[in-house]
Amino acid sequence: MRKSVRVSAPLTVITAYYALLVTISSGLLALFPDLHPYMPIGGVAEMLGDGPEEFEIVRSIGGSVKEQVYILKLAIAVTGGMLLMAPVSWMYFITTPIRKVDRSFAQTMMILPVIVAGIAMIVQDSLALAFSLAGVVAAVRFRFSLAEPAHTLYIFCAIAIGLGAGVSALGIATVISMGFVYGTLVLWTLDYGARLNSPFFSFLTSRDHQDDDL
Amino acid sequence: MTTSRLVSLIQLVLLVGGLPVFQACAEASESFSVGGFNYDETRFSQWKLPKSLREISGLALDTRQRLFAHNDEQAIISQVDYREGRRVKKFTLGDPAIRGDFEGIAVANDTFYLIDSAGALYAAPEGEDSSSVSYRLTRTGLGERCEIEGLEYESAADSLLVLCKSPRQKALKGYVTVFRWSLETNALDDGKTIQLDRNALKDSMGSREFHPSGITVVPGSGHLLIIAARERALLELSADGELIAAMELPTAKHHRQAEGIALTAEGDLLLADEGGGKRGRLSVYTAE
Repeated sequence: MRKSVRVSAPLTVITAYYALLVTISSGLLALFPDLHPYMPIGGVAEMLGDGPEEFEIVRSIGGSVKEQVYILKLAIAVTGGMLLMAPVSWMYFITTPIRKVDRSFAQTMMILPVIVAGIAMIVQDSLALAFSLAGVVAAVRFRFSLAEPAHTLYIFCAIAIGLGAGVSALGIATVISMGFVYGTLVLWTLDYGARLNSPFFSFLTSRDHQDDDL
Repeated sequence: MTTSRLVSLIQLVLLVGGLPVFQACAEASESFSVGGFNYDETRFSQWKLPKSLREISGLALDTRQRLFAHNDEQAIISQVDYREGRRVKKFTLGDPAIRGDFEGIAVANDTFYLIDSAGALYAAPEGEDSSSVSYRLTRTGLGERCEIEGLEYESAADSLLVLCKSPRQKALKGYVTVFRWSLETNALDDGKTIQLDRNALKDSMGSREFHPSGITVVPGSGHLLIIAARERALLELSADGELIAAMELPTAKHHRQAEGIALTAEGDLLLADEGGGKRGRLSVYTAE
């Protein structure tokens, strides 16, 4: 079966999945506008100081609204991060031969955004906490090597999605997830880099069709 | 002892020992007293301010207990309802709003005063919502003595209290200084300047460092409350400059950069924190 035929199924499923995620979250916000403070969306605008033109209660007498909001926000962010990571992991399964699929790596990929989102929420804008975190990570001294160089991209993607979720920017995390998934799908379908003897690449690289010398 | 019994024992210890600890943690709250009022972290609320008040720099209450705030970089005055969390109105001094490094606001006899760090004093009437008003500028010359950081109206002396942050004159170094600007003579009342030797702070705060950022008058007693953003500390002085209390705010964790302070007639303490790149905050400590 040709790749172009094989790609239509994952493309449809993944697109439907993203559409479903966006529809459900938009629908929830439309039905329950009070959910808005708990949704980890728009965090980057706030970090840039371009927040809304309205007051927002952070803490009310008798208890910390902020803490409740943060806990719920973190819960939603973590769930959102995992939901956005799922298509990325599917890409890993699609583009990797079955015998090379590493179950442990796939599970790590899914869990990584949860941890990164949690860390980002803890650190927030505290330089001291960020340095403490760096110290702790240095002390743990990970000795972890990836089997395939391409796996690094999945790890980076997981970190990016986790960071996006952690700084209340699930919108950006969604774009990252979609960009990665569709980009990888296109490159995999095209088998990009496998055929360099086409007239275009021969012209581009100034090598003739049989020239293997780099 | 079998492993399962050991595990059960540990679970029991955790259950019995853990509950009171969690309860204690949940109930722990910071409290402090200042200006004759008691405050508790459980009676504390905080607002994130609109982006246009990101650079909030000063607070002032008028005789009707309406709260006004101003921006650091532009002469924009906002009336804020701190109970409901909304802006009632805003108006500007000049059209477009004049630019400067505004450090304090005061309301006296229906006139609004803004002061900049160089000691330029702007006086203007109250404006309608979204309006601009004309202003009168007085160069106090206080900027040559020190960098100005706060303003408040003292009705007992019909004076503006002008707070000095960084002294530029040798004679002012080592002191917390508050000038009195008489509204009657429109001149400095030099004989009534308050100076507190910073060494007096060592006993209470363990340090003589104190960089004032806001000032207010306690209704009734006439005492002065001075907040320091950098040290997140609070001073209470008598009207004569005698030190009543000095403390680091026990609730310092809630304050990024407290630039404005006001105290309502009911004793509610209001603190405004500049955003520092994020949204500013308005904290309300309700008096017991």
